[in-house]
Amino acid sequence: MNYTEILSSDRAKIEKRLRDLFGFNVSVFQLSNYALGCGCTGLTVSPTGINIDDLEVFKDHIFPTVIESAHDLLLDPTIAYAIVGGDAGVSALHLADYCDRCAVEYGGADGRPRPDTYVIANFEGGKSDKHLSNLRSRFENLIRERTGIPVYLLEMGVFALRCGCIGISTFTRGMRRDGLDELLNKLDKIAEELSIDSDLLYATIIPGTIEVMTLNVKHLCEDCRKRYRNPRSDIYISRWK
Amino acid sequence: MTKVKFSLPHPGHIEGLKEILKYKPYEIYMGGSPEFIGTGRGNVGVTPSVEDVRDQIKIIHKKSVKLNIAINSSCLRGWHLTQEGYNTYHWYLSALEDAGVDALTVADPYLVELAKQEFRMKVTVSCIAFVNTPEKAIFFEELGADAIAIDPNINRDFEVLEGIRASVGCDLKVLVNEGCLYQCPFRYAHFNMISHVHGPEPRAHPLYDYYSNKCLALRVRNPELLIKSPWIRPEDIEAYEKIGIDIFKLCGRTQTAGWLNNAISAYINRSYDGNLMDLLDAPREIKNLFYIQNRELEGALDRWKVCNKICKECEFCRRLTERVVNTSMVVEI
Repeated sequence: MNYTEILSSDRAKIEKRLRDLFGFNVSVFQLSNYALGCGCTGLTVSPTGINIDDLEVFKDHIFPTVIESAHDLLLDPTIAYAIVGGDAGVSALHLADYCDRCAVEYGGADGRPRPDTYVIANFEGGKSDKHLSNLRSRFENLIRERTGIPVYLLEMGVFALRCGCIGISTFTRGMRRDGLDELLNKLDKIAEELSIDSDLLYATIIPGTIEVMTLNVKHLCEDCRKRYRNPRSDIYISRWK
Repeated sequence: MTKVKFSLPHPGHIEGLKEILKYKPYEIYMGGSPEFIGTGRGNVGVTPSVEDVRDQIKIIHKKSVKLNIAINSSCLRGWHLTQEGYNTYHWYLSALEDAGVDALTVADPYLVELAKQEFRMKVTVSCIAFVNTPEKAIFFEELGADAIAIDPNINRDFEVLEGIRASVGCDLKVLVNEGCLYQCPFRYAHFNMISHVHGPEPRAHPLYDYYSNKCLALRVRNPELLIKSPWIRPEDIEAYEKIGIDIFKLCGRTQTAGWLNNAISAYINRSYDGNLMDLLDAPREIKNLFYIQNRELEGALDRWKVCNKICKECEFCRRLTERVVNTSMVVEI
């Protein structure tokens, strides 16, 4: 299996595991592998239908599947934590290989560094593959060379969605519309390296402004292919392939 | 070194509270319940109910620390002036007072007067009331303010700060590490947006936080704005004590416990050997992108104290930025 096939397959595996435990109303709408600008890398499971109590009680039944997925993606996590909303629902389960700075900032407070953050487990870890981090840095440098501005690439994430879409999303700060199409083509080359056969190259721009928020390439499922033909006001479509 | 009164941010949960109390501050502050009134910041996870406040206040008072609840929305959409709104706010403030809350931080002048006239809790006027002249400070003191958190835009304008000090007898607070843009053009609109997005229903659900993203983008593109931002270095606290500032308030109640430990320690020790960005309550993208060696900023306050704020004629901040702001600290794998 190639990289994105692993990501899609692991999303389905984790969803099946959660459904075996909690029932059919639980789903994993996204599994993504990310590299952040600070140096952290990680895996995000985005579930619907489970709350923090479910996670804490059943963690020994959930974690082997999620950790196996991390290892499939050559991630060696140092921490597992959940982001919990005001309704106690888990909006994300992260396995992360922290950078030095985040390791300090997210330490202490008995595993509750913020009211919305629950540390579930710590691991020795720390030997993750750096390929995705390198791709993030490479693309950030490209943007800077093209724009002449120290644009910050907050995150590069490779994702598999429940609907069948796969792709790359990058989150920019300080970027404007200049050179957008050229940079999306460069991102598509990176997608090819990750075995993503993309259909669509697009950016999100705050409607009515020049501020670019994300650059994305996607291989779309059938439903989304129809949906993106009539996109939201923040979506700038650079090219269909 | 005199014992400084610090007002420290509390993220809202018990585990965070225990971390903050280690520092034995004068007071800690936390956001109130957004079901009633919003605050100047977004909510992080479960927000504390009145019952949570009652439980936490026992721990806080055991350490002889005061609790200040921030209910400093900049916009109450006029509802506070309706019968139903008055009843709700009155009920909520009564519940906070019964729980043992020592003080409130409010931005709306009506709430200053309501709290003062009908409750025993002390009243701090929020920096979101933008008190930046002696005249406005007198107005709020006459309305009943026990303390005024001064508009950070004048943090480096010592003539005005001294003028305010000479004009009022109430406590004066300065925010030391807010890290916002100097004379931010988004400030009013952004606080109004936060009031409605993180306040009582009905809530708006914006596609993007335009103001926050624009603010970040401006600083990425022009790092000089980081230097002009009216933060106060830990080493410069003494200069503010000398002109009669009573309380030093740290921002950061949406940050993590580890971040708070580092920032609070720096201000309590009045010294930091590292990246100034570690101390500012700024989003992670700005903190990760820039490195400003705090030691290199020694003496800059002496220039800012007498600055006429006409940047085109001066260029001190531009030259300082070129010397001390480093963008090469971006992680390179």
